[in-house]
Amino acid sequence: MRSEQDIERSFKQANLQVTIGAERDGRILDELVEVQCKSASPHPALRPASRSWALSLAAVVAVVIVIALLVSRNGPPEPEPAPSRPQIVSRIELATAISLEKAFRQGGIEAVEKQYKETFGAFRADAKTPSVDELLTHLENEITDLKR
Amino acid sequence: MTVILNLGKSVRMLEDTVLIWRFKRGSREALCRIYEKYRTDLLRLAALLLRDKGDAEDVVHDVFVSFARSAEMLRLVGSLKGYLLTCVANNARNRNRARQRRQTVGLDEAAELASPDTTPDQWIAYSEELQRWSDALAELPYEQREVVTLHLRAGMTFRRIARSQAVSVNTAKGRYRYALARLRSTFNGELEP
Repeated sequence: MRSEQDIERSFKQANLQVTIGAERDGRILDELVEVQCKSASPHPALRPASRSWALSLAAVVAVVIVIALLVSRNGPPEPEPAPSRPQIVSRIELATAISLEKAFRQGGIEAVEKQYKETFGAFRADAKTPSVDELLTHLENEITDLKR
Repeated sequence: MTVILNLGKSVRMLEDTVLIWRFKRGSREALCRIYEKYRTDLLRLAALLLRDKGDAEDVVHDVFVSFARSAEMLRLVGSLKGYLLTCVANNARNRNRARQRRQTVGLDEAAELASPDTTPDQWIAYSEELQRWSDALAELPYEQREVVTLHLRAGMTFRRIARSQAVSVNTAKGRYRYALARLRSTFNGELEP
């Protein structure tokens, strides 16, 4: 005799498999893509809701860049009586912020997303791992290009 | 272990957030990924809620078509999976009501004759275990079947189920208890010599 708790447990843990027919599955997916294309507006990225979001992101990026530039140009801040010194923004962070800001100016949110992918794609396991020297040289070149 | 599970859940939710963001901007890849990620879960739920395989397929198909059409209007509060499962449950409930109405006017039997259970162009096939549970659940009144399935297989709370069924939480819990009692007698009856 099975108790109600047994029924509860066996239903919860039952391995209920469904096998999906590939042919019809593919047709349904095609249909969904078609429905999506028909119902999409011509320029969804330019809608007001997206624009306000993009402006907020641009403002955040701009603030980060201004702070980073101020720190890098003025050098380390004057020693203050406080025991801890403010942390200096690294070259990598600065270059990342600059490259993202540049991408945003050139191509908006999509370009920022693409830039992110490219940046993080370089750190994947299957990619050739560059040495620290190579990275610094690359970043210095990037910064020089941006200053021109 | 709990930390790893929570981390996995967070990663899934993060992926869903990115997918929704892209989907709302018209990304075809995002729609395909959402479809491939959740279609099996939705079909399984529909299979448990509706005895007829064709109805289960139609419900999931309709949910995905509505989803693909509603990209710009979509305002997601909870998880994407929860949202899609709720859509399937609502759609299945409506279909069940329509089927009951058809039965009262005697059209259902004719429709069943016209559309056999297995067709060459089948989207899904059930495992033996799924078929067994689907048959057992089909013996329950629909509301009881829905509560027990949504609670145990879709992980929904009684409060949420009660809201979707427009009843009190106690009523939902009562339906759950009745459902378990009936399933118990069904399975114990099967085991008797």
